[in-house]
Amino acid sequence: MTDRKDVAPDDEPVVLVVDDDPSMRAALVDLLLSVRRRVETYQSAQAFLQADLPTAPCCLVLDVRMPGQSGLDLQAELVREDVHIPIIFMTGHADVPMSVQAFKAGAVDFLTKPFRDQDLLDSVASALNRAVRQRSEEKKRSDLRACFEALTPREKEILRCVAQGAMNKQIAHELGIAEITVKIHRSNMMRKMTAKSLPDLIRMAELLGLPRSSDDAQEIRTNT
Amino acid sequence: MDVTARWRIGPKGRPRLRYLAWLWAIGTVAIALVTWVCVRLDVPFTAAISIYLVLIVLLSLMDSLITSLVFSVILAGFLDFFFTEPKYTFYVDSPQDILALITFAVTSIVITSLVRRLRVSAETMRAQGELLDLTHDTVMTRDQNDAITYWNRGAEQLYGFGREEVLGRSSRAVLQTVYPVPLPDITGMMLREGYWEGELLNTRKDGTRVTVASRWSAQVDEAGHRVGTLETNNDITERRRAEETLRRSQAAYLAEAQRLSRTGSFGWNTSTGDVFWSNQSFRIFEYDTSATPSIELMLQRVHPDDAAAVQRAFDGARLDHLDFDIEFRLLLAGDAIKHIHAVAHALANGNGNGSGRHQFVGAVMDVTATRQAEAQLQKTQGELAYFARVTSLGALSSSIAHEVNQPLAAIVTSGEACLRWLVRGAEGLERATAAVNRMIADGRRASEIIQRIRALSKRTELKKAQLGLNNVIDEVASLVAREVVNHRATLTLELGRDLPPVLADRVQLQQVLINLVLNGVQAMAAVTDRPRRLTILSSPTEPSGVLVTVRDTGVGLTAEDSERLFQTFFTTKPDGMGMGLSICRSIIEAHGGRIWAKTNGAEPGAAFSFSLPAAAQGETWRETADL
Repeated sequence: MTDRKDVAPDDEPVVLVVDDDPSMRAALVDLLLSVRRRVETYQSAQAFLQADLPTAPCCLVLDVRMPGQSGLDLQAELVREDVHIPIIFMTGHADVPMSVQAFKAGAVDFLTKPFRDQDLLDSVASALNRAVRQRSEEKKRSDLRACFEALTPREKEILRCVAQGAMNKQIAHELGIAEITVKIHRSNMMRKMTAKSLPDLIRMAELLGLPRSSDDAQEIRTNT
Repeated sequence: MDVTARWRIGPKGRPRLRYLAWLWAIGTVAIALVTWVCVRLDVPFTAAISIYLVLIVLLSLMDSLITSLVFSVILAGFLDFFFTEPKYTFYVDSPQDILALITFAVTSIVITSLVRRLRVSAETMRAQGELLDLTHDTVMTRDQNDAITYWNRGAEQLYGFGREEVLGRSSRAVLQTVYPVPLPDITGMMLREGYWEGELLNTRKDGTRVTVASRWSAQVDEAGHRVGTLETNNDITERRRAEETLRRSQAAYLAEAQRLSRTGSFGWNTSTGDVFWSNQSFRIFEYDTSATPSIELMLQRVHPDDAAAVQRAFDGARLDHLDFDIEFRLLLAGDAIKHIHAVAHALANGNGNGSGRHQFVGAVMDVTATRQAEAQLQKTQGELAYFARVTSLGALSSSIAHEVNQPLAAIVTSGEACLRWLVRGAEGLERATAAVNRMIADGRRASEIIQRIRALSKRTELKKAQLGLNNVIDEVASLVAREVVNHRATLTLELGRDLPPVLADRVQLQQVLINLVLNGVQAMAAVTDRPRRLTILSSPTEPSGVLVTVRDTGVGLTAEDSERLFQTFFTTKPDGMGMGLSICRSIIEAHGGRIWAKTNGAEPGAAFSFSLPAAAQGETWRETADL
């Protein structure tokens, strides 16, 4: 059951709290509200998985030990589903293996109860920043992808070759077209991709997941 | 009275024939002589009748009815022949003479019979008198002034006084009789009933005393007036002595038995207040045997804490004739304590309606040793249970720590939130207040858990109180819930409604439940292909009691296991001690319940159940006192 707090614009970051202990949930909500954070709560991992995720950037504040699915299980599930929400773990008693596992799976922080409020709030801030950054990167990526899709097949090829560091002459030779044609395609492509310079383009290519060398090409082809 | 047929008076048999022969001879001679004298003297008829009558009387004194009758007839004949006109013939002239003859015959026959009867009576009486002398019993008769009128040989032999010595003297004085009841009572009874019996103590001539069973009968004359008393005595001295010896030896056995068993007997007459104590009773109450036993003396020794209950029992006996069966303590010199078990019941009285039940008889038993042993046993069991509890608590420790940490962490976070709200001023006041309230509730929650842990880890003695079992289950659930979760299992409670309260020790019941839950969790540790579910169920049972079951979905039990599970040192765990379930059983059984286990049948896993009886109305238990 989710607690609907303040109605806010959809891109206001949200903190998602999952803890089976009602007192702890209430205390966390109170704490986060006192610093004007938007909060949603869930009393179990299942409840969280069954609910719809907010569209705004969010982070997860998660208790490790819960009946049914534990926090670590939830983390693994999210990884499997390729959902990248930054996670802050809380626990009554931590041991090293547990924390190592959490961090390896990508947790932002691992706090032992009782924690200092400032520690939690800092972690939340950092996690939400990461979420926001992720989101903007995601946006950038999807924009780029849109641009990429708008390229002609030839332009795509040119882009791949340029990303691999080939000179125009090499590209012309490889594709069996004139160098000038390459230059024209390249110019069009750069313009469509809104790349301002070669390094820019290469960064875009990376973001798009295009291979830097021909070795990765095999992998990319099989993945796309 | 056909003594005539019975009694042959005088000698019998051969001597009798000789006697008869003599009788005939003498009789014949006498008759002949007298007749000759009378004829010679020419005695007149009437005189002859008289003379012959005298002769008949004399002859009939010699005992033989037939002889006498024959002589009568002969004499009548002689009268007729020799003395009636005409003489020397059997004819009789005048009718008056015939009348006289007939009169003579009748008279002589009558006389003969009378004399005979007299003799027979006299003989009978003498024979009977001889009987009185044959018996060993003493027979005496006394007149109205208590003077002895008859004293048989038995009396002579028993008392040593000869007949001549005592006749005419007062029997009371002679024998120095001691009566069992006052003499007026005896004489009164004699007057009313004409009969009395009882035991007397008499003194012989030589001064020794003899106890006799005595029976008195009143002698009355034809008019019904008392003329005297017949008394027979039977010497029962020896019998009494034998009885006394037997009683003494029995008493000695009894006393010894009482000493051995530390049981004393007592008697109490509630209407007079008289109390009897056997020697052992004196010893138990620690009074010297010279003291006069009484209820007050008994009460003085009773422990002040138990005095009220003891007084109630005694009052019940005194006022309502109620039997009692009570246990109480004595407080003796040097603050020594004895545990006493006293029972008593009223002796039923003749009228059977209980209203006359004044006489109580009872026993007091010194059960101190037993109580001490019981207390020691309980203490040892308590110690053992304590160690088992502590071990269980150890197993639970990480869960418990977590359980306590949760509310503490929530308190810290709420507090920090509260501070932030306060900084905001008025707008944050409501939220700040809410935060503080949460902190208080969480603080209490943590404290409760700590208290439960403390209770479990205390080395307490058995302390039974009326408990709601669902309550106990809830408390245990809060302690073990975390542990269950840690082992990836779920804990479900299915608690029945309207469970009757049970009289039990809370800590010990919690221990049993914790043990069963931990066992269930461990049984499910190896299970991977099905959900791990632990369920605690409670329900009331018929006729009045509570049933609790802890069910798991673990590896289950074999039939062999089920039997041996509760035995000491039996365990299916590689590192187990095998103490837990046997301690559970001794706890449940000490509470009057049963504990058992069985598999779930078609479903996997096992179910451990225990039942407890419901507490009786108002039943409580005081803590066992230190001995």
